Amino acid sequence: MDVPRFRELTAIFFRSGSFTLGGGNPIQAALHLELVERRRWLDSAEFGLIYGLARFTPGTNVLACSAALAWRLGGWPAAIAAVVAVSVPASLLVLLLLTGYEQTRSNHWVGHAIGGALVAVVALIAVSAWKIVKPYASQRRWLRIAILSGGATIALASGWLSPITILALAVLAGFALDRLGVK
Amino acid sequence: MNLLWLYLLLAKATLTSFSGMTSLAIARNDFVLQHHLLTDQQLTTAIAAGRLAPGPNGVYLVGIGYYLAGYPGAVVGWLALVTPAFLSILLLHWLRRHSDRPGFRRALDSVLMAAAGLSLASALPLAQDSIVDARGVVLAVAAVAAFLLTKVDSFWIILGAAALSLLYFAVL
Repeated sequence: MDVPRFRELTAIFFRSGSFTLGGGNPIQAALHLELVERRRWLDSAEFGLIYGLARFTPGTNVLACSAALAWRLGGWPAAIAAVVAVSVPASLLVLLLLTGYEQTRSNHWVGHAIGGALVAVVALIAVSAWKIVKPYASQRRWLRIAILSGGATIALASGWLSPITILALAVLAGFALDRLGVK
Repeated sequence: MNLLWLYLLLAKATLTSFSGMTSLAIARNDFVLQHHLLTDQQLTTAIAAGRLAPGPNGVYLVGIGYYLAGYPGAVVGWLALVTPAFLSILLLHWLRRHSDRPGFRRALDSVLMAAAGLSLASALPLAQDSIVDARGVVLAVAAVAAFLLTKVDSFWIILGAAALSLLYFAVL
């Protein structure tokens, strides 16, 4: 396998993060194409290991995946450059969108357009929640989903507990369900 | 606004979540409910801006930082977004040895299932603010169907919802 050059490696992360819509998974697919299939700097198994382990890491998966891939290929400087390259262009665009929105929100036309976009965002959050649960639903782990996901929804919506407390209780509840033999 | 305090609150949201949007529950709890620094409308707008931009989903944290402390706040939001990524390199060493342990995987499964519930609970008040009439209900159902049944990128679905809302306003 060739040794990647710093600039070329950083440019790949910049292109993948700046021109790939749809969040983390499409970006990681673009990185797989560039790093594994086209340049063969990593084999598919190693990419898969880093991709999988990034899911166990707190925070945004694609940034963790980018940092680890670049670190593996070029050490800490490459990891820092990759995270900057993936996240800064999107951050600048968010700022541009928000400043533009603040300047035009009193306009009725803009207000209605933003209102429609916000409804779609609510739908997106609900669908994202379903997609997290979907693999467990396909394993028919309904009781566990009802207790852990349903319980977390009710506990937060009612204001009984903070999110961090709910996550900690979910781990304990999960182990208790294991002991009770719940699938 | 103390930037260090802002960073710690945003980092708390990113360090306790396992994907871009699951940080939403903690961010909303801290900034909207506990400290009343942000409205649900601002939070939803920041999420919309994040989804219209390419790149990671969690980039909406930059928008939260911007709302709370202007451009310095946006930089703080970006720092909170990227900090866990660097920790991942250290964690990866450890996780390589432990990620196959059944207990670890079961704990992570429990966290993910609860995180889905937290995301859903966070969407409820946002829905109350943005879905206020029959037009909103129709648009929400159409958006859910588009997200679930098509492979159209979320960028185009959000933009399509904005266009439909504008069309409804223009025609009626």
